[in-house]
Amino acid sequence: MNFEQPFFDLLGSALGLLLTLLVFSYLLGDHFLVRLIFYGYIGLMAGFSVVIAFNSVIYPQLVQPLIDNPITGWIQIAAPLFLCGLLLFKLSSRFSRLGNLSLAFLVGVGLAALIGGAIQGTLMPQLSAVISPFDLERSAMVAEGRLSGVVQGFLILFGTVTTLTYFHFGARPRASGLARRLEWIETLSWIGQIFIAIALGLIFAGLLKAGFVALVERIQTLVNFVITLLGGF
Amino acid sequence: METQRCPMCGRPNPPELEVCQYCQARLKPLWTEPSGGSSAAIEAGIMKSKPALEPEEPLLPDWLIASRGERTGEEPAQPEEQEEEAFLLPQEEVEIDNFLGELFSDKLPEGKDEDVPEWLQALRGEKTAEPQRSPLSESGEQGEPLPFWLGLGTGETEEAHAESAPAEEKVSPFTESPFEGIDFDSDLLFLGDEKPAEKEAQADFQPSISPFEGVEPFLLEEDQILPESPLPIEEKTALPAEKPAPLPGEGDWMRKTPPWLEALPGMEWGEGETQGKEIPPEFLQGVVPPFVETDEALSEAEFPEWLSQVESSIEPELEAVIGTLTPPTIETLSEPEEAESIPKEAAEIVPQEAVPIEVGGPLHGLRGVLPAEPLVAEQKKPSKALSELLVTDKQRAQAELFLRLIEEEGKPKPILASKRAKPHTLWRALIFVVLAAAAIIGYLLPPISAAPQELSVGVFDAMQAVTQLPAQAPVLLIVDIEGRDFAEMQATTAAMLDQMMIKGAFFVLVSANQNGALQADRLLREVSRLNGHNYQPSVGWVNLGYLPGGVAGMQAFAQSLTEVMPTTIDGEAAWQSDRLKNIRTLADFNLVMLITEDSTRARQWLEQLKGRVPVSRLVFAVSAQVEPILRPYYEANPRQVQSVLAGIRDGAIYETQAARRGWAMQLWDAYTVVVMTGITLIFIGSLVYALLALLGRRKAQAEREGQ
Repeated sequence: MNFEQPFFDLLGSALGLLLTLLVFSYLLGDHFLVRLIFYGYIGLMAGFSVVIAFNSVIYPQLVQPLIDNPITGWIQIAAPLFLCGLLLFKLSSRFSRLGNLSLAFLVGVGLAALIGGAIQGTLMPQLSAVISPFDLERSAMVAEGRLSGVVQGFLILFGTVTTLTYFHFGARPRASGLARRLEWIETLSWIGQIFIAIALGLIFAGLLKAGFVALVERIQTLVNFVITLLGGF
Repeated sequence: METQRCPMCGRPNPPELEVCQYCQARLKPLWTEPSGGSSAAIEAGIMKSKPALEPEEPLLPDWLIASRGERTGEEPAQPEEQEEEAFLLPQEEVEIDNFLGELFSDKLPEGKDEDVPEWLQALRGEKTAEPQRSPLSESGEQGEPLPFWLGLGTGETEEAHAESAPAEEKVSPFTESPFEGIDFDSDLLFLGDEKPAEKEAQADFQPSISPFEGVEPFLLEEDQILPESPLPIEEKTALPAEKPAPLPGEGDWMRKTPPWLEALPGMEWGEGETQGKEIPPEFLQGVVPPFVETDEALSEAEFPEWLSQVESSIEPELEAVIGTLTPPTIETLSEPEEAESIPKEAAEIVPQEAVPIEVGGPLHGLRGVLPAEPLVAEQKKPSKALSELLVTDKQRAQAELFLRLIEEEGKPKPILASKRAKPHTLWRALIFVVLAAAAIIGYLLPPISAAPQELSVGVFDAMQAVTQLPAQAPVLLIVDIEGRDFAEMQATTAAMLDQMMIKGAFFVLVSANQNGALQADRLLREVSRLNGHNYQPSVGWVNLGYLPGGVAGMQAFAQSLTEVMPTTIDGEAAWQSDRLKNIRTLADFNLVMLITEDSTRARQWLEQLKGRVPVSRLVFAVSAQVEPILRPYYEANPRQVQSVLAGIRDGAIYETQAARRGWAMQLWDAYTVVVMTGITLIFIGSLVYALLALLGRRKAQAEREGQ
């Protein structure tokens, strides 16, 4: 059979339209077809992940070196293969402890990379960014002017301090038995809530915008498909 | 209603109580002291008390006990008492008892027959049939006999008194004691008074119960003998109201010790010692309680029929009363087995110092009386506050709460049907319909809003980075997006990718998630198709595929990308092509662009790329929801990223500034309508909920006011 490209496009669009409508039908309630689509999607993603893992990791990193050069390949993959073998013991409850070595290696390396990157890429630069507006020499070099830079720096510092104060939960017990924070901490915490609310509102607005874009794209796809069908007939 | 007063606090109590309801002091003593102060004098010298009392003894007359013994076939307790007293008394005193018993034997005056009942006369006849009379009694039969105490009042001589003394013994036919029926404490004090009625009453007095009834020998300390009156009873009774002259022979009769008595051991007292030690008259020392002989006499007597009937009729009642009134401790001690089980050591004489002295109440100062129960009975009147439980309001409230909790715990509670929140299906469908209609209207109708013209700083910096790209420059695209956000990311990056395609950039695609590689390939295909480019894989881009390892993989890729990702997703050597042969590190790329909708992934990439890529070559194209997270990295001083394109708005601006109608502008019109519709729905929904809450509050307030 010789299928032309527009036919596949039309078939794909029809399938996409059908799946989209079925997913939209979830708004009217849960039903078998929706669950079928969800389960199919989950299975598809799991299979795709296995394929990607094998195609992108296992084969090129484990099999290909042995095919290309078995001697050097064994030397290259010995340590990773040993750790992977230990991970297989996790399938057995009796020998699962043997897999802890591989997990310890993964957790240790992952946390080290995460913490190191956070300190270098987030913590220190952001602290510097909060302090830097009060560097008058640097502010003078900025074209926006010194005063605006200082005011902006005060706002950033104030928002940062009040927001961090909100997450300070240390309190001393009082005679009444209740544990409350100090009054000035409570005040700063209340102001920090305003900044947090603004930030959360901004994030929520971003979520809405992303959702609206997705909705509009799906609606346009449906409309285009219908227009295409109507135009074809 | 009869009441009994507490000896400790003096308050009245119901008669059936054994302990005071106010001070908890015992009302009914465990050990009943023999009545009559004279008994103490009679029992003087007896240094050992009877360990227990028969329950009937304090209440029943001895003749009734004797008759009961006859009917039941039991021997009265008299022999045992005699044996016990014989055991208790010295041999010399026993002999004195025998002597005095003969001296005060029953001698009935004949002239008194009309004053006694018939059965008593018959009884007397039997007794007189067997004369056991002393020589003194015989002289009394000559004339009209008078009690000896009557003779005291009339000033008779010693001889007359000696004759009247046996006559006195005939006052009570049930006893052989000369003091039977006489209250020495009160009655005899009026002997000298001219009260015919009382004299007649005395003459007609026929005591059915002897004042010595139930008296048992008990231990008395020497200092307790006649504690109130140092004089002998005879002297006390001889105190007339007109204080007559003492009888000439009285002192001799009372104080003279017979020769036979002087010969007894232990009788070497002198007069001074006798007075100082307050001993009773010699003739009373060691006197055996008269009821002993009386019981013996009654046991041998025959009672009239009517008395037997009366006895049989009242016997159950008496037993009931005895059972009620007799303290249980006495009953317990009266058991013969237990009485015998008392060790002899415990029955020994208790030292005087060991006997406590009563320090309160009517028995104050006495030793060896009722146990004071110092721990129970307070020496003072208890305060009213102590008798009431002090409970504060808080404690009462807590107690009530506790009781209520306990009661509620015991009650079964029906399981309430959980009100499951029903999905607002209709509302959700309605909102979807409105938004979908807005999207359709915005897409089909002519644009109702102009394209965004304002150039933002992020878009400007992104355009500067693209403008500075050389022709056919290698560009690294890190695409970490999922399928759900593909439309937004495509709208955001389409114009920028279009500009790079115009410059002939060669793209290297990599992704840190499994879907990213395919999404990146799709993205380039769509942009190329929409903008008319002829970009194909291997010609326009290479896809390195999935980068495993998470953050560690990012770090390894940033350090040595060629070693970590040596091949493409198709398995070909990625870095062997002519356009990529000069690439060894990230800094060799002319531009590194991160496309993601995940804020965490964006931050991780930013952290790992820091220092590996020049900031001027690092551009982020992110979703609108990630912009607040990445904005500090961009607006920091110094910047950590060259530019941040966020959402469809920045994509539309980029297209507008680039004079290209791309994917963002196709969605923009419908997007603006949907956003406005969404804002309207949010506002309306908030207003509706606010009104409902206000109405609900007013309704609740109205209900409260109505109540």
